[in-house]
Amino acid sequence: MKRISFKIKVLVFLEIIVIIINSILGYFIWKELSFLVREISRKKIIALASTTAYFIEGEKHEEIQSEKDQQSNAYREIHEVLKNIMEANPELDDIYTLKQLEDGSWIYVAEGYETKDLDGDGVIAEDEMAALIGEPFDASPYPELFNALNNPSADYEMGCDKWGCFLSGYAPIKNKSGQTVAIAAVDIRAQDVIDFEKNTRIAIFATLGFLFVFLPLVIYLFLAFITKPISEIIKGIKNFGQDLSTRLPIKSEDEFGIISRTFNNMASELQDLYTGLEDKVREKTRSLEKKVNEIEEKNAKEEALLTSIGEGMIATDKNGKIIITNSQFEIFLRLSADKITNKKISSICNLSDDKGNIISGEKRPEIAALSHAKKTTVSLFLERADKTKFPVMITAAPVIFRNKIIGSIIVFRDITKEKEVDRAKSEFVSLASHQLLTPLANIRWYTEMLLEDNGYSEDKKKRYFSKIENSTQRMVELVQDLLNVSRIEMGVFSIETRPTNIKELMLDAISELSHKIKDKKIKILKNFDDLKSFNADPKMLRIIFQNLLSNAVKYANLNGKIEVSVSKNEKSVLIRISNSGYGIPQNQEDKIFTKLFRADNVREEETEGTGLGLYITKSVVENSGGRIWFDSIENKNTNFYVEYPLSGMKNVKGSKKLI
Amino acid sequence: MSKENKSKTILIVEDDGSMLEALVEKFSSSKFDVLSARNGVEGLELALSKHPDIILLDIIMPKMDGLSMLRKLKEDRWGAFAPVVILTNLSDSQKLSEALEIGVVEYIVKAEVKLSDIVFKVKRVLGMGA
Repeated sequence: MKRISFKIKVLVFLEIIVIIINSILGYFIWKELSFLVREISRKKIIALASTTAYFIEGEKHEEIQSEKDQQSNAYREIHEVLKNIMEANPELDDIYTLKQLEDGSWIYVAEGYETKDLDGDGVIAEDEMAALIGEPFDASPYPELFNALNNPSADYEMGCDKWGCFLSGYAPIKNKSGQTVAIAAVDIRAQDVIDFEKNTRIAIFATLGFLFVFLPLVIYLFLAFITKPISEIIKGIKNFGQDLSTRLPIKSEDEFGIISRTFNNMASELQDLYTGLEDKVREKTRSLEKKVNEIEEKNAKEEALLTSIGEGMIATDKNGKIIITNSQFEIFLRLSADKITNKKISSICNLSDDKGNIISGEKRPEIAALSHAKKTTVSLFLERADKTKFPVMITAAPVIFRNKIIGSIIVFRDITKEKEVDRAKSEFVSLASHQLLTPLANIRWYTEMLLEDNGYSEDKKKRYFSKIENSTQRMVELVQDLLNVSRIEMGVFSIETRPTNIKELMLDAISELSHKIKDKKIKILKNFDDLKSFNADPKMLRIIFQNLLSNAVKYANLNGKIEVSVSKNEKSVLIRISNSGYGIPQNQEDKIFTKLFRADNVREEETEGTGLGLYITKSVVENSGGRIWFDSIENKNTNFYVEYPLSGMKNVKGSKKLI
Repeated sequence: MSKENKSKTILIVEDDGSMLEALVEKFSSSKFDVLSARNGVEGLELALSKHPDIILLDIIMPKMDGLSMLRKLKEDRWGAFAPVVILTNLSDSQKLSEALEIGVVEYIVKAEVKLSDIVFKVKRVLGMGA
């Protein structure tokens, strides 16, 4: 849309008003002036006509009848009067009298002058001759003439004839009895009036034209003067849009000054508000960003928590359909998330009890959670689609929102290890009790037989007594092992070193096992470097040798062999105890030093053994500054190595002592 | 008295040498014909081939444990009705109930009894009287 400035609008509006007013005013002024001029002329010619009529006696007109009366006294007198009046009023063009005949027609009676040099050429032409007495006068174009029979009147219509254009005035000439006998007529040249009227018109319209041109200029200047401060204000306001520090200059104390001041105040407030707002927005943005960061961090943490926890976790909707799962659950089921979500738990895995019965319906923990809002924790087996299964501890809890169950959260904890530990523990208890009771039963039974004394031979009796002794020894060892384990676990045990003969200790340990070695017909190979004195706690060395040797004997094959060696180099002492026999299964090598652990193959073959020996040995070796390891080939041999620095065992102060 | 003349056969399945020796000694001197085995595999073989009158069975043994042997035995037509006395040092109730479920006539914890008690109980099972 084209913008027309306020100034132009005002200008156009005012101009239109001026034109209208000027036109109306001009018209009326002109009209009034014209009227006044004509009125003055009219009154003048009426007055002249009346004066003329007054000086002329009416009876004299009755005497004059025709041309031949031109020489009469009456005519002379009339002519003289008319001529005198004409001379006294030079603006008169003509003066004459008219008389109405009985037939109604009019005739000239007398003229103010008899000839007239109209064109001023100094010659009286025929057409310049005055009208003759009794010459007919055509009165039809002059209605005022008839009015003048009673009263003086003027014919204001321009009458133009061969003599020119005139204004005519008429007055009745009366006799002594008051009867109108003739009309006195006066002509004035109309040209003067016309000229005057013309001049007046020109003057008026010139004035109006001047006003027409000049007024807009005045208005324009006036507006420019008025609108200048407004423009400044507008400019200021425009700038304010871009620069809030813009203020209007205050040049006067008038209304514009007030406007400017008010605007400045408003601008200041706006600027304050805006800068305040910007600060607030910045602050809000900052805090929002912080919040977003916090939320993201929290989400990341929660996600990390969800994905990293060892527990498999799923969330279901109220119909039991899985909506979220974590990676651990996927690993549990060996399924990807897309195969889990939107499915019911029962459709992707089975839950079974100890006896392999599938758990269904209300007994399923997620159903209990969803239909009874009950939090349940049960230990079951999770069966994959491929029928493999593992023990899990399942905790199912309802998710309650506004008193409605909207879903459930189910956590699956893989309790394979716990189950294994449990099994190992209960196995240990039964094994330990079994192994404690076995020598006791032996002692009891052999004592019983010896007491009964059914005439056994001395050899038999001796054999029975040695059985009792062996059983007692076995008991003692077992009890010591158990006590040592509990001491190892309760705290630091002391290691007190002194110069020790390794070889002697080793030979003692071998001789303690000589019965069994003989029974299994095991060959023993010994190799000792020259190492007279080694700094060690003999008790600890005994524990190490007893355990490693008794294992070697126990797991050696019949007619097998055991190698024992103690060697030294410039840094360390290496003790090696090897046996041919079962060996250690490769997949169980990393568990061999674990408490209560017994390898599958030896558990099958040899029922004695608590799974404590190597655990105790490793604890002793490592606490005394040594290192223990092994290598083995299943069904062939096993080598155990114990290494100490040449300086020997380290001293350890502790509250406990191993036996 | 004539009954006593016909000696009964007992199969003792026990992995501990000393205990086996003591049991064999005691039952032999109590006029039993004694068969002995050191593990479940040997025990099952002997039981099914010799059809002893009674079986004295240990639980913890190498190769095949007592309860496994018992299950196998029960699968046999003769073995299903053979009287078995469990003689063990396991005193936990789980093993006991397991054994009773499969079918045994006695469950004896070794350390709790004297040898003569065992002989007494076995005789009672066999209706031999003291």
